[in-house]
Amino acid sequence: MCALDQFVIETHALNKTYKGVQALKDLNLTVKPNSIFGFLGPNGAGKTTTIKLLLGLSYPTGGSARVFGQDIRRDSVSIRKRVGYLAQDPRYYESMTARETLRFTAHFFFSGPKAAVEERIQETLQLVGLNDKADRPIKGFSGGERQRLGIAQAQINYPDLLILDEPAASLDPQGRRDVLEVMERLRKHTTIFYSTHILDDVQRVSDTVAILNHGELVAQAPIEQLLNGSGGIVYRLMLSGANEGVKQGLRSLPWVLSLTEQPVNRHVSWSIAVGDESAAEDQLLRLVLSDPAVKISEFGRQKVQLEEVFLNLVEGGKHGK
Amino acid sequence: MASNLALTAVKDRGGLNGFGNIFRMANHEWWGTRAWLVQFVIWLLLVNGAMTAAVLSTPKPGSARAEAQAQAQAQAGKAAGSDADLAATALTLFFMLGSMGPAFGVIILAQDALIQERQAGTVAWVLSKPVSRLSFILSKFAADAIGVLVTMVLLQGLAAYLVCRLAVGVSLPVFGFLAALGLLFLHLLFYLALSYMLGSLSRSRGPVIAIPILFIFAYNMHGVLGWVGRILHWNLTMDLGPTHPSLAIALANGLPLPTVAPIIGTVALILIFILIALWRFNREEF
Repeated sequence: MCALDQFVIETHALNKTYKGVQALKDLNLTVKPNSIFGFLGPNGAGKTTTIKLLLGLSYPTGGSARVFGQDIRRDSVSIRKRVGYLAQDPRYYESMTARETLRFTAHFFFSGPKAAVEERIQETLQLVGLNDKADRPIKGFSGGERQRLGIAQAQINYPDLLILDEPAASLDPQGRRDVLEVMERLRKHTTIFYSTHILDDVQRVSDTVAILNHGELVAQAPIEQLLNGSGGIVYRLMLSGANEGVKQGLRSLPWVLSLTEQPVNRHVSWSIAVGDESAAEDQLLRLVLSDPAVKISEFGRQKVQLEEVFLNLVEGGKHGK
Repeated sequence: MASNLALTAVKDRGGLNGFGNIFRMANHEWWGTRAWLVQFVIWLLLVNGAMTAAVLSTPKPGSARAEAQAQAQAQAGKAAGSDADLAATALTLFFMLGSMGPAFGVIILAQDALIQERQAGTVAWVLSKPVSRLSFILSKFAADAIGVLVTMVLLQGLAAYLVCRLAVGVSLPVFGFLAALGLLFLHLLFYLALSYMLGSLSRSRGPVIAIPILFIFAYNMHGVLGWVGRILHWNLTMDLGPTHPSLAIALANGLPLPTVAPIIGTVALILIFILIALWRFNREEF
């Protein structure tokens, strides 16, 4: 990649209209090198449309986009030399075997030597665990095996950018875990841009997330920022024996924004929103424990799940921005 | 990304990136499978088989059957047939059947080239690699053209030449006959290019098959088409009467071409069909 490229992918007001229906509206997206970029959105949000535009399989009706600093319309073939792509529903020549498919793919990038190409094919088959099925025709492959082959063919050229459209959608839990492991292994060398609706996976491996809804970008941020920024800093305590004085004392502190209480079995759960994280870490637990009658069974910072953020943004429409 | 230094990157071929790889794969579909043998045998039986049967059922000059037939023809006021007449019949049959029958084969093969790939989703996969759309069409077209040339033209031509030599006893001029086969190839290339163009314009197999088939039978209408009828591909191989002699038969007999208009017309149409296919395929979204 050119040292001057700040972003691997950069889109400016990218638009796509299909037969009068706007599938993508003024998309402004930036993807940094060596990130695992999760591209989220409900079905029909425009994720696959964006990917197809980036690959030159479809053409924008407005705006522009650059991959490795190159224009997606003018330099499409040159961009694809450095990209690996796995389609949502990968299709190959059914009569070919997995090895033949990888050989066919490899020859778009490498002219030889033959031994080195074959070695790369073998290495790739091993990476995705298709060694024992390498010489069987693809028409007998299961959905999971096709997906593995898809990942293999997508990264056979050592791509600088790996674009994966729903890479784990048709996999069982073990297959999903394997795919995520492969992605984590590849992140050292490449940028991974992948669309998914499996939010657990995104939370596990992505460092940056963009959420698309009805063709519009509703959020783009590092995942930590997205998770922390959605409801402020909230601490959660599970306790028993606290008197009203402790509660009032906390509420009077300038850095405590709110304290809500909820009974849980024989305990009480407090959710304390704070405005000063370091003050809270320093003093909160000490203040509560200053009452010797208090017994604490749980204490920690409340974790917001991506699913919550996603649903807030998507169901909140534009207000979720 | 990390790379293997032992691997050599493919050279940038501009608008023809990916041509060689797809061409190899498309060629493999012809020559790495039994496809070529199937095509060769089908047209050997239908074209050369029919021609040979017709030749063998006609009595050889000098034989007892021929004498009897000659007497009958003399009584009826007709001239007796010679080896040359028999060779002319054989050539007429070969170029008539050889241009009509394999044209069906070409149409069936070519309709799959784009529609099947589009329906199977393999076009989108291939085009996600560093492949130009120009390469995709041209490489498949070139591989199909070679398959047609070898299995439907050259091998059939060789068989027909041998039949004329061995069964009729006439040695046709080799270069003239080869040139005639060139015209037969041009005739079939017309259907190949037409099918590719229609395959790029339509997502349905119906028109891609039906329209070229209409062209096969429309030779009957050459008379009402005026000058257009005189420059179309039918004139290359088919004997359509004294005003529209077959160019291929003339060449095969070592005679000069009566006109070059059908050659120019057919080549121009083939180029137009390919250009339209490229233009349309370039605009298509996957």
